[in-house]
Parts: sequence; structure tokens; C-alpha cells
Amino acid sequence: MNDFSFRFFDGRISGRLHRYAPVLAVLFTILLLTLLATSAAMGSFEISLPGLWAALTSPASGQTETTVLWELRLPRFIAACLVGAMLGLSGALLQGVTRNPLADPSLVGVSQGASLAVVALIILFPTTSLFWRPLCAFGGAILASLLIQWISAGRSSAQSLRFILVGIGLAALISSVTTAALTYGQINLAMEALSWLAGSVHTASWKVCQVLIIGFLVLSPLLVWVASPLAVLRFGPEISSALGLNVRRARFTVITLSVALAALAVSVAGPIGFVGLLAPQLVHRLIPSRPGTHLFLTAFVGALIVALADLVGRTAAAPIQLPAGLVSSIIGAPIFAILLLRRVRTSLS
Amino acid sequence: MKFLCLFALTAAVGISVVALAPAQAQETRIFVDGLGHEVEIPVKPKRIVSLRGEQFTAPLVEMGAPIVASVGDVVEGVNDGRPVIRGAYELFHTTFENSDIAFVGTTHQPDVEAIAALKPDLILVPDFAAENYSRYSVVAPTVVIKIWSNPARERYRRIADATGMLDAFERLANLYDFRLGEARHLIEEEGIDAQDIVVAVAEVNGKRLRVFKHYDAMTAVLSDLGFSRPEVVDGLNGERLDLSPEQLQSIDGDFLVSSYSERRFSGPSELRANWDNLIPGWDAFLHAPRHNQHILIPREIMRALSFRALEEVLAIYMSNIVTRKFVPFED
Amino acid sequence: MRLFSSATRLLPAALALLFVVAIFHIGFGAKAIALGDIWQAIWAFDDRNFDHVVIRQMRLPRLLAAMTVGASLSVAGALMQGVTRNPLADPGLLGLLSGASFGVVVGAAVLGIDSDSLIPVFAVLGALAAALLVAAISFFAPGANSRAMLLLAGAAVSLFLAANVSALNLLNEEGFASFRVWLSGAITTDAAKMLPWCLPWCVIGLAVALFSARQVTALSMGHKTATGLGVDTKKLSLRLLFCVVSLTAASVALVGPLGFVGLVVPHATRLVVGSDYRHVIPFSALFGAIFLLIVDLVARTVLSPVEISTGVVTSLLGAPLFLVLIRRVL
Repeated sequence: MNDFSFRFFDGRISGRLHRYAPVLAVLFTILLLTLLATSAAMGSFEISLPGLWAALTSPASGQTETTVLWELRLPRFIAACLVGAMLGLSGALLQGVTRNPLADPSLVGVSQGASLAVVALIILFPTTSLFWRPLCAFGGAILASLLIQWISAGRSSAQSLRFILVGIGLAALISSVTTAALTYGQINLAMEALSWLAGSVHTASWKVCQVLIIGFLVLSPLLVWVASPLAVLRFGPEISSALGLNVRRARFTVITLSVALAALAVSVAGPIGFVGLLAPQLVHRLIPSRPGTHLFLTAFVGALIVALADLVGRTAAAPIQLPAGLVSSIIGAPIFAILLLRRVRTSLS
Repeated sequence: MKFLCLFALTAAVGISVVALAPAQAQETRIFVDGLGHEVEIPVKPKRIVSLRGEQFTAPLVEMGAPIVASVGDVVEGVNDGRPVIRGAYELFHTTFENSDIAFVGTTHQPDVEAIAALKPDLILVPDFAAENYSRYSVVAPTVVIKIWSNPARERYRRIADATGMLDAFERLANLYDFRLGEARHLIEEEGIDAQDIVVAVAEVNGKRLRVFKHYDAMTAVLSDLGFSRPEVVDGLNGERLDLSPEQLQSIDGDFLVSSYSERRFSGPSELRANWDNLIPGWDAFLHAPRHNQHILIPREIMRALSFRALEEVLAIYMSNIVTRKFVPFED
Repeated sequence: MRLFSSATRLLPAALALLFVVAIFHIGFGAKAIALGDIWQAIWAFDDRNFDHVVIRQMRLPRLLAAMTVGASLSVAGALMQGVTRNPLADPGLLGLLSGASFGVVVGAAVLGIDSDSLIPVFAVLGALAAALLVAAISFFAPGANSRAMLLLAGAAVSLFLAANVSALNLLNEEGFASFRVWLSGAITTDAAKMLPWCLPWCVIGLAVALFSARQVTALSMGHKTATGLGVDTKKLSLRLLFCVVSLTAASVALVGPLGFVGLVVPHATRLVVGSDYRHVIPFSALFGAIFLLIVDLVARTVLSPVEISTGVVTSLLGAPLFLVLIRRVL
């Protein structure tokens, strides 16, 4: 997947730092495993460490420790990781293709499309089977992004910029319809819709994990493939064309992949903000690397953020559960601002 | 390739699902719940978890069912900021402090682990929260009750049926029916034709005028007593309508009923202030408030699914409409 | 100065249009009221006649609120577009509406402020914080294109504040029940109560905007040009920031967030009067008032007796224009 020209251009960007990529990968793996262990051990249901070990090594059917560990904590952790990884990747892809550090599908209409679809379903058809909820979210997200792609299509060289701006416009429009929809239903339904809008992985079961894993597996070859055009696209459309890249097709593929990842994540967890913005930026701060490595590490960081947000959300005020989306927004936004500020300081000095 | 390896690993974990079922020593039966799940539940559950305050916990408390946990909500200014069980708090003053009921999180996101820790033998879930069904059902037999389904009594019976409390339900139902019969008898004795009395149920909340065709006990008892509704309400397909304030007079009738609550923004005086902000001098233009025939009913109590709520609302209507001299509305 | 003379000729026409639209706004509604009664309601008000009350105490405050908000948001949008030299700038898209909403929800639902006079103050604080945040992010973030950056910063701040507002609502159902209509942007007769407290903010904002119009024109040609023309750009930017914030915040406090008004009206105005802000600002105010009166009339009558949130209608009308603008700009 690494062709020569890609290496050549990549060499211009601090090849020295590349050595740290494996170190970071190992570090993130250790962090993730620590988080896994903490998530497995912590919760409203107290399990002693030996009990935990016993439940882990010899799961006994019908024993509450086993149920809590295997049916509640582990699937939830895995779902949180996958959702986080997808959101992070989705943001990284869109930031890469638009060369804009603030681009994120959750800002440009994808999450809003999903939200409107689900809120409309909850408010207008409260008796519809819940089976439709994730499908509806997925459909809404895809529909919104198709609309954005369709409106922003054109021969303009600034097409990906257009995608963002059209997305922002549509996001504002869709949100206003969603807010209005929230005023029509009965207050209980509106509260239910509101709690979906907060974004949480609390519904995660193994079934949900399976859907996420299959989706991820289906999309991962594309992720691998996309790394090299993404590396070329960094130099702008003109140079990319000169290097023989079909810019339009590459862009379309990257944006579609980004949207699909976000849609899948949102359909399971609802809109979880700031992960798509924060994860790629964080990795970028740590190690300015080529897209393949960057994507790989971003997936890790995204997973870490959402898994941590979920752990904090479910344990901090237990038994009151704070949605992961809320925690990630409230923790993520200031970190994001600090990142941007520090970046300026380093570029000034 | 690292990617694929990671995925393969996660996938392997995902597929190696351990099938689990809680231990059941009790006598069981099959119950078909609101979403068609065939659930094996104890004939006489001893540790019930309720995931909806005014719809489940309140009726369960009323029937005296063995509840071990319920969801609750933190409501500013109520119960000193400690979580309250909606409906059950207002109706029976059942709190987490004065009962054996444990708090297991908020209505819209209960803590499954806290539920598991209580080792329940039955979990009642409202249909809108059933997206989490698979997670509850690994903890204990879980029954979904459709809380938007009408009539309310049928819903109550389903809850009683699932929790093995049908005897208590029948006893309570008979009591209410008896009271209702007495009330109707009195109406007949007094020579009142209930159908001639037009009662509108309407509120101003959050800058809008909302009229109701169905609003829990508040409207249920009105229809039980046989009162009429204003035409604009009668023709409604749904449960309620947001009416333009300019059409205030289309809900005119003999009586006007609104709900208030002790909670913030919705006390009786705030409620009247809301009306006045939206429609200045509103009470001069409606027959009912003009003649002091505007009746206020406590919302949290009236919303709780219970015979007690029906009885209280019945008593309010009896003293304010049936037994009182009032100025009838002339069209 | 052909432009100037044509603009002065336009003024009576615009005022006449405003008058006609205002008559329609007062005359139409869910309740049919005869013209004679409308006349009487205004000149011989009888508070025992419901028709008179509808006209005088329900439609008239609504008319005033719609005009005030329309003018304020449009001028705020025009100023933002001038100062940032970004044709896509708008109080909603740059996060000011969310900021003001957040301020009000925090003030009322969390701090328990129930004094009407303080609500605009909280709205101003929220809008100011959001404006500074968006400015800081778009200034500090390394961006390929500052137009997109400003809007993305606005979107990110909006998202963050909206997440906080939903969190507060999620924890406080009673608050949500009473706020949700307002949060969707709805002009109601209820505005009468807030009008005395919000109007001063709007009037001061509009006055400052008119007073600064000449310098805004210079600024819209670029900071260097403006400095060359003897304009203290720092001082001016600061003054205009407070102007925009108070106009936006007072509008939100009055009727809730109405998206896209600040985008649509200034662009339409520029098409008619050109890009001299001495004309853009007063005519934006006039056209803004006319625009919102029409929108409100539509929101109130199209699905009668049900009223639609005005905010949805402004967004539905404004978003397509935004899309057209993007295609033209890029």
C-alpha cells in the first residue's frame, strides 16, 4: 500500500518522528488495556478482584458476577471503543481530505441527519418498534450526507470546502427542525428523544458489538486503501492531480468512508460530539505522521476517549448515568481549545 | 495489517459470547409482554424492579407488590434535592429513604449494574426504553409494558398480571367502580344531565395553549362521569392540540380544568400567570374562570397510574361540579 | 452620488411596504376579525371585547417583537459580514444565538433567575462568551481558508453549547417543558412581557450601528484600507462586537433563537442598495422588520389553527440562500 511517490513526499515531513509511532502504538495499547481492566473492575455492582478473576477465567452461567462482567461491562467497553475509533477515524478522514483541522462529520450535518430521523421517529411514531431506531439513524445520516454531496457537487476546485460549508448550512437547518420537533411531542417523548440526543453506549450488547465489528471489518480495507490518496491529497488538489491522482474520485471515496463510519457510530450511540475533532488533533500534536499511521493512532485515541467518557459517565455519579456524549463534550471541548492554543504558541516561538 | 489483527481479535471476543440465564428456583410461567417477548417469569415475583415511576412504581406500591428498586429523578426543590419516584412520591409519599426501594438511576438511563446487584426476579420496562431489553433480560426476566396504550385500566391490569397481583388489582378496581357508581347515582338523583355539562381540559405551559382530549386521570374521570367536551376537542384525532391563543373562546364551556404541580415553573399561581402572559385578561373571556369555575388538579398525582389518583380526581370533580351550584354556560 | 439619491428615494417605498405588511400582520390570524373592529381596537380600545384584546394585546406586541427582532438580527448579521469580511457570517452560524440561549437557560433554569429584567443580561453574557470563543478559535486555529474556519468554529461552539443546554434540560424536566418552545424560536404574544426589558438593548445597538456605518464601510474594505482612512480598527471592532452581541442577545431573550435572519436580509439589502453600509444598515433594519413580519404571518396562518415555530420558517427560507451563496462564493 506504500508506493514510492508517497514515501518520497512523506519524507519531507519530519521523518525523524516516525520512530515514535510504534512507541505510541504500544503506549496506547497499554492505556487501552488499563482502561479495559478498570472498566471491568468498576461499576455499581461491586466485584472483588478474586471474584473478577474467577468470572473472567471460569465464567459460570447464572452467577451475577459473570453476567455483569461478560454481558454488561465487556460489550459496553468494546462498543465504546469501536464507536470512539469510528468517530475518530471519521474526523481524521474529513480533516485530511479538506485539510481543515475543524472538519468533523458531527459538525457538518451527518449527526444532525441521524438526530432528526430518530427524534421524528420517537415523537411522531412513538409506538414503532425500537428495531428501527438505529436503522433510522443510519438512514438519516446517509441521507443528509448524500444531500450535502449532491448540493456541493460541481467542478469547483474547492469542492471539499464546499462540502463543509453546505454541511454547516444543512446542519443548522436540520437542527432547527429537530428543535421544533421536540416541542410538538408529549413531554415524556421529548425527554426520551433528548436522552437519545445526548449520545450514549448504554444500549451496547454483544449483538450491537457484532454489528459494529462487521461494519468495521467491511470498511477497513477501504481505510487501508484510502491512506495513500489521503497522503497525496495533503498537498492540495493541483499537486495531487499532477501526481496522477483522480482527485474527484479520491475525495468522494474518502468523504463517503468518513460519513459511513460516522453514521454507523451514531446509529448505535447517538451523536457523541468532539471525538472526531479531538482525536485526530491530539494525535497530530503528539506525532505529525503520514496518513496511515495517523489513522491508526487516531482510532486508538478515539477509542480511549469514548471508553473513558463512558467509564466516567457510568461511575462518577452512579446510579445516575451521565451519557458518554455529554462527558466527552464537556471534557473534550476545553482540551480541544487548549490544543489549538498550544499549537499557536509553538508556531509563534 | 495491525488493523486487521486488532479486528480479528475483537471479533473473536465478540463471537465467544457466553450464554447466561439467571438461576430460578421459583415456580414460573410464560408471559407474553407488550412487544411479544415470551418471557418465563415467576408466578409470584418477590423482587420486582420498576423502570418507570408514575406508570409502574405507583401502581405497584398501591397494590402492595414487593418492589426492590425503582428509577427516580432529581427534581429541583423537591425532597431536598434527593431523587424522587415520580407519582409514587406525590401520591403515597414513597421515597427511597422511607421504603426498602433502592434507587437505580434516572428514568431515561437506569443503571443496569445497580439493578443486577439487587438480584431481582422481575424487571418492568416501559416500551420506549426497551432498546436496552437485551441488557436487562440477562439480569432477570424482563417484561415490556406499553405505557402509551389505552385504556389505562387495561395497562394497569397487565402490570398486575405480570407481577402476580391480580387479586389486589381487582380489589382496588372494585372499590373505584363502587365510588364511581355512587357518584353517577348522585348525578342521577340530582337530576343533572352530565352530557349537558361541557368541560374543557387546557393548559398554558411554555408559551402555548394546549387542549387535551386524553390526559391521564384528569380526562379519564371526566369521561367516566359522562361529561361532554368542547367541539374542537371532541373532533381531535390525537390526544391533544396546540391551539392558537386567539381561538381561546372555542374551548369555552361550563368548566375549565388544568393541572398544576408543586414543582418549579408550574405552581397554581405561575400557571395562572402563564395564561395571563399569553392572553391578557383571559379569565374575563372564558365562561369558566369568569364564574370561578376553573378547577386545578395536581398534575403529578393525576398522572400516576393508580386507582387512588382516579378516586382523588373523582372527589375533586364531585365537589366542584356535581354537588355545587354553578353558572351554566349558554352558547 | 447617484446611489445615495436612489437610496433616499427607496426609503419612503420601504416604509410604505413595512406599513402595508404590518397591516396584514395585524389583520390576519387564527381568529377572523373585521377591519372595523381592528380600527376600533386601536383607537377606541375596549378591554371587555375579546377581538380588541386580540388586536391590541396579542397581535400588537407580537408585531412589535417581530419588527424589533427582525431589525436587530439583520443589522447584527450585516455588521458581522462587514467586520469579518465574510459573506457567510450570521449570528446563528457563528454561535451567538446558541450562546445567548445557553445564557438564558443557565440564568433561568440553574440560577433560578425569574426577574425579566435580568434575562437579557444573561443572554448578553452568553452571546459575548460565544462570540469571543468563536473569534479565538478561528483566529488561533491554523486554517487553509478562514471563511470555513470561522463557520466551523461557530459550529463547534454551537454544538458544545447545545450539548450543555440539552444536559441541563435532561436534568431538569420542568425547565425543559417551559423552555422547549422558546428554544425553537417562537414569536408569541408572551413577548409583550419581555419587550420593555429587551427594547433598550436593541435601540442602543441599532443606534450605535447607524452611527458607525461609515466606518464599517471602510472596515469592510479591509483593515489596512480602514486604517489608511483614519479609522481606529481595534476600537471600532470592539464597539461593533458589543453592538452585535447586544442586538443578538436581546432578540434571543425576546423570542428565542431565529436562525438565518441575519444572513438573508443583509444580502437581499445589498442587492438593492449596494454595499455602502450607510445604506446597508438602515435598510437591513427596515427589510429585516418586513421580512420577519411576513415570516411570522406565514408561521401563524399557514397551518392554522396550529402555529409553527417561527425559527423553523426562517431556517427553511434562509438555508437555501446560504447554499446558493456558497456556490457563488466558491
